[in-house]
Amino acid sequence: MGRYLLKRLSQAVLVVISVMVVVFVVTRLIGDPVAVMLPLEATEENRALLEAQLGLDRPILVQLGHYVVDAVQLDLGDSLWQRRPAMDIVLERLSPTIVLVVAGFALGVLLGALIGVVSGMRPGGWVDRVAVTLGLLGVSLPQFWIGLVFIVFFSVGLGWFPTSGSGGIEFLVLPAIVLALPIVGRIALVTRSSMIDELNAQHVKDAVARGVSRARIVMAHAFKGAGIATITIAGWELIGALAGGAVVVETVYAWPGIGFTVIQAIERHDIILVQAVVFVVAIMVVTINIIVDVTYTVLDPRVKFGRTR
Amino acid sequence: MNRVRRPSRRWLGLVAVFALVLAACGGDDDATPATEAPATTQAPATTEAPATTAAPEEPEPAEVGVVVGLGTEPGSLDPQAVDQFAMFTINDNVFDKLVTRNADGDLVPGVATDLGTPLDDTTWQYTVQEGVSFHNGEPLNADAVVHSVLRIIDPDYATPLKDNLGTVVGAEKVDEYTVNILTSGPDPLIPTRMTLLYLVPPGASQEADFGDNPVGSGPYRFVSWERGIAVELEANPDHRGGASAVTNARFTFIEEYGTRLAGVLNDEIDLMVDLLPEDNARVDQSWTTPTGLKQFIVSLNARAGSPVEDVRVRQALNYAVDKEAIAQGLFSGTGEILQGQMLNPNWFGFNPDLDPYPYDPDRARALLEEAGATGLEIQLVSLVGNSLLDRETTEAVAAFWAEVGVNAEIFIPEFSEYIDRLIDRESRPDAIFVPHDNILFDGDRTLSAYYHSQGCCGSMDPSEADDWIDAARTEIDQAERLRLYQAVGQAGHDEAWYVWLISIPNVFAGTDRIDWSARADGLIHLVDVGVSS
Amino acid sequence: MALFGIFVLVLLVVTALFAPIIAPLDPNKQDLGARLIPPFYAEGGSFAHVLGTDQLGRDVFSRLIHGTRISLTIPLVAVTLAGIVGIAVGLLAGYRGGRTDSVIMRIVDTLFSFPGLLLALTILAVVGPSFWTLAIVLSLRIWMVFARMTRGLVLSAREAEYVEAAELIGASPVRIMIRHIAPNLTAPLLTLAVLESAHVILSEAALSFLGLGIQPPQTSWGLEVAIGRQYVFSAPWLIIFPGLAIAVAVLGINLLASWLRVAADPKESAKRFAGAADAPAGWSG
Repeated sequence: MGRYLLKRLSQAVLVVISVMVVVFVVTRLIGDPVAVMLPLEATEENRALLEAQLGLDRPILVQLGHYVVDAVQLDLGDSLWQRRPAMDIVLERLSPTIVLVVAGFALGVLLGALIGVVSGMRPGGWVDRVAVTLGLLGVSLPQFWIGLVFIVFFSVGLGWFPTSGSGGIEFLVLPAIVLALPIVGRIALVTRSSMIDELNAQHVKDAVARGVSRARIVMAHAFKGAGIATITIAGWELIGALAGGAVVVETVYAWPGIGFTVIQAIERHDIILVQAVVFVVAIMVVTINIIVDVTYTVLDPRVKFGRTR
Repeated sequence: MNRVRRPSRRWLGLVAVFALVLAACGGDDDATPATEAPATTQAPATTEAPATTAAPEEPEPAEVGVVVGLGTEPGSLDPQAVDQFAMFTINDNVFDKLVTRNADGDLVPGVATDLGTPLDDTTWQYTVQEGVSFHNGEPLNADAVVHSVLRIIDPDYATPLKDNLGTVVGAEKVDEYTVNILTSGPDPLIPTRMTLLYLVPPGASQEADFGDNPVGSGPYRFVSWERGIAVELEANPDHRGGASAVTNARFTFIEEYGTRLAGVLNDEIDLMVDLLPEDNARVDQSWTTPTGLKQFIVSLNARAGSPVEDVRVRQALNYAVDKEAIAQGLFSGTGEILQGQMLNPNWFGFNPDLDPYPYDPDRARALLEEAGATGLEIQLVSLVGNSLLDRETTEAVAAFWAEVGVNAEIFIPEFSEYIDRLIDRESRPDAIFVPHDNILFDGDRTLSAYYHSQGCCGSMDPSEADDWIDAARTEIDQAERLRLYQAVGQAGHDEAWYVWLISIPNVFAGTDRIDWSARADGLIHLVDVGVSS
Repeated sequence: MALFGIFVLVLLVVTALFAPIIAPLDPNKQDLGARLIPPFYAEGGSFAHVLGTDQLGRDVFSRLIHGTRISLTIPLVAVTLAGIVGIAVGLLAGYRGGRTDSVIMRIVDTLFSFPGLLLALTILAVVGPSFWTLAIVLSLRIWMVFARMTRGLVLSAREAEYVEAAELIGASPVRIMIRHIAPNLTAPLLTLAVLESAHVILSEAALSFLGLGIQPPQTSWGLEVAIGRQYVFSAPWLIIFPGLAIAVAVLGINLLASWLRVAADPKESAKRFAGAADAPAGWSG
């Protein structure tokens, strides 16, 4: 177990490093940040001054050198837009994102698993048909669009929830639901599919023959088996929600997390801040990956440590 | 006249059907229409003041709070560090300047006793009112002014606002309340430039966190800044101007237009910026700055060798565009047609004798034919998301040109590439859409940049106008300066260097508890805001 | 359900192919005097503009029809690119095995761990969004899926007895690949391609919505929603219909994908349309 974890950790470090190298190279090519900070008609002199002060006039290799040395000490530089350490900004904005992602993810997994189990118990029944259709809808509706439709309907039309921003729990409801929708859909479909497999499996059939009660079969056998499939996909869903869904949902709801921040940073050509966000998200993604792998291994004795996915 | 359309209820039905389906699938409650909004939808500080101020037991004047919805969040609240309108909007309440503007946009003394006196070609003298102090107790005196000037022009400080100070090279203290502003040469614009110099306290402004924790001397004090969410201010009870009706203000940052508007519709926000004309009828109140602040123009490359070098072609491109339709249609009447020049009527240098090129597609076709340019193909460079309806305006111009047989290919590059194209001295774009603003409200900046062949963004061969602009830059006699600028405007009009479209005012929306009117400069002075209960 | 999926797909393809014929009006023809006219069912609307007009007075229905082209071509191009690269890499890894396999799969695993949408956003912000950059960036995000599946299929096919037999009698690797292994790959990879198209449609829409996708004067459904969101109160039809178009297209493709799965694998028939679930996640639209 220890050796396995060590190996996974070194892989994770490799992933983070390669992400950072890609991002560094890519962001150096991003449009000139100075252009965004000045009025359209700024003087040549002031442009040059600002560029020099931001260190953007140095040769790219010198910049890379400074970047590596600083990044090792977790110093990712000062945000060009806010003129303070980018890491501070990311850490500040991280907790709203975690709140949103955890809420949306928990809602999505619980609801999805519930729907999946219920519909997988009687495939082909009307409950199943409705559940599958809804699951497909969940994965098919564009999140940004549902987000807008919800604002128009629930916030403006009915006045049930605030339109955007953050504050009490009422601000969280709509974004969390929108973030959860595709998760509900995919988890429901996966859980259902594995439930059907499990219920058709030989040991379950044997149990039925032995006269074990239906509820017991579902809980003890089928649900446990289906759980492994669900957890694997849930790990992906968590990553998807963090690195994708949150960007869209936060932008629609002006939720002050890192997803919204990265869009703002891109708009302002704040390459330092973009780098910092990607860096932190990459670390979180690899961490989640390790947790999923370990959980998976613990839950399913058939999988040996070291043979991942 | 285009009547503003009433909101139709039908579409809500369509959305409702949709939402019902979704609500049903999520196992949510039935979507029974609620008659009133629960109290939980209120933003934290609409009527009650934020809890940040200490509230002693003894009766105090009631706290009156307003929530202002801004579209963008400033990167810093250091008033000398960033060139962002949101920063100006907040800080104009927190900081003082030597010279300021009244609601009509005229220059008036700020903390100085007058607009300034030129002593010689390189010196302007100002006297600061006595007894003004910063919110932390530091005195606002000659030392503070000198510090503020030297800080903003310091090359190491490298602020985008430095250009606003133009010729200013230094400042020196004469006595406790008298200060000389030193320039590199005669500069008639010094009083105007002083409206963009916020005075900062010599002590506090050297702290590393000044941008997070600004200290000014204005009618409002900085309270807190929840990054990504809001800035809160409170009235400064010791301010020389006396008490303000609004005791607490919260500036919230909501980029998404629809959600900002929804905030006003739900009474979560009292006053918001950048209302779209379409939604005028939907809000309790709206206000418009008396004149436009952003000028939409299309620069045409008048240099020899350009596909539009022939003045007849450029005139044709002007005649082809129905500016009235853009102002009335696209901007629902809130856009004003530019008077055949880039300057606004309330800017110094405006030429009242010029008229817009009328909409006359037949004349445009005739001119194009005469110039042998029928079926002309050009590229129109533009940008997106920088100003209200910039994309739509660009598309509208291209469509009008298409109707007279000029095929303009719209090219929308990434923003910094757009800037590179705009300021490229060597190869000018055939046509480039520009949203121009000028917070100095003086022709100097606009004409130097756009009507001078050596300006950053001019697309013409050298002409007499260059000399007039150069002469005006150091002309202290305002009448002569005005004459020169008007001559430049005339030359540009005759040569059709630009397609002058419209000037866009800032539009604000608010709830009915607000009593206010928009200022010429588009800023929000909390001291002017009245609140009914 | 599968019928519905096929119907939707055929409808979309026909619409895209014959857009200029089907669209009642020129999608770029503006009329500033007739802007923001509501759809036929609302007061003030008429059948002259079935789904109303946009902020420049252009016909929403015609723009939707033309938007089909980009919204369908992007997934077609992106999935084709990703499929070619992914299948080639997967074949190489699966057939060569050993070190080649482990190195390739290590790279693929690393790429799976990249924060996808975030990197796509960053890259698009740099190279500037256009049709081709968008298609390439989107294919970069999915080729690994094809590689991994192809490798898995090749590995299991190689274990089949007839392949071993063919190897024993000395058939050339290329021949084995084409004659014996390829047929086993077709159905699952086709299903995967259909499924990935649905993801790409959603991703394209999301990127265009965030302003980093298709740029005007080209248009796609996602971009139409992005532009329409300013008018969410005054002209909600500008976001309702393009959003519906995306949802219907994705739903149809998902249904088709699940039907394909069932058709390809009799064991799956008990589950019916459940196939969409096996998509690799990490996607969000």
